[in-house]
Amino acid sequence: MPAPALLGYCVRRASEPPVPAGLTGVDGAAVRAVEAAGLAVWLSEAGEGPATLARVRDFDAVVREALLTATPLPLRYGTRFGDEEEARRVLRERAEEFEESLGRVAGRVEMGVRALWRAAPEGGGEAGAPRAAPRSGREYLELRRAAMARDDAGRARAAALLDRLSAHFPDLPAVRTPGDGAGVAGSVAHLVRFGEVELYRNSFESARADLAEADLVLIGPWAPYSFV
Amino acid sequence: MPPELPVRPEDGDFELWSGAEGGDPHSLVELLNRVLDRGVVISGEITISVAGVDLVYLGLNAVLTSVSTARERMGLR
Repeated sequence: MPAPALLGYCVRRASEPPVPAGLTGVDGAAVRAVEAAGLAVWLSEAGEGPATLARVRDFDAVVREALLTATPLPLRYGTRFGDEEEARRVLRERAEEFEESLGRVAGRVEMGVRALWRAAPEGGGEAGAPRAAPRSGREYLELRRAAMARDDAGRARAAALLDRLSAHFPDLPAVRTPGDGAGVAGSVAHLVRFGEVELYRNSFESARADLAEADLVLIGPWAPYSFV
Repeated sequence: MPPELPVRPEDGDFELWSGAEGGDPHSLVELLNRVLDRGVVISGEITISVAGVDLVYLGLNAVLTSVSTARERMGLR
């Protein structure tokens, strides 16, 4: 059974600027908009095949093109519609939800900060994995308990770091993502108004000076993937 | 009355653009985490698919999924 024919990229208000002439997306397919209920979904003919890195980049390039004129609601990669009428039906059925989300992200971009530990913390990795081969069941349980305690301490340390990081960006809508328990302490995404991205960078520099135990990476601007 | 919120981006908003055009590993991680794991999910009669295969290696024509999604689907969360 063939996969549905149309790949969706993002949802916008129909009153916002149209798809730029000649815009292409995944696999070079022409991007167009389908409208219903005052909304528009950007889509293109969808080919077959897996989500390669090239396709993922092409997808995001279309979403970024939309962001240049007004904040879109990005769809998750791989969202497909059987035909244009199906796309219109989704817009009509979820119009209220999409309008609420568009209102929440209007005039904003997603920025963020990723925090990387400068020195690997104790703990991390799979909880319960003993460091040395135990000689008895009791010793195994003791080692497992110690490993879990290290993991808990690592998570608490990362949470404290993200708390201190977040204090540099007060009053911004935020989404926090915990790290992997090893090198990445975690990341925080923020919704930032157009025109205030430079202020955000200033806050980032302040945070970088404050958090000496971590390397901070500035992220963005992105379409508001984390806030839809 | 509060000032009206601007809805169009300004010239300086994208000077920091750090998408995935380059090979910066941080940008690549951020791209994959967002495009594959976030964004609006439309379910029901609409097919949501990343080719239906969950692999984490990168390669020519390989399927990509974020580590968190892969771990979730493999029951490692």
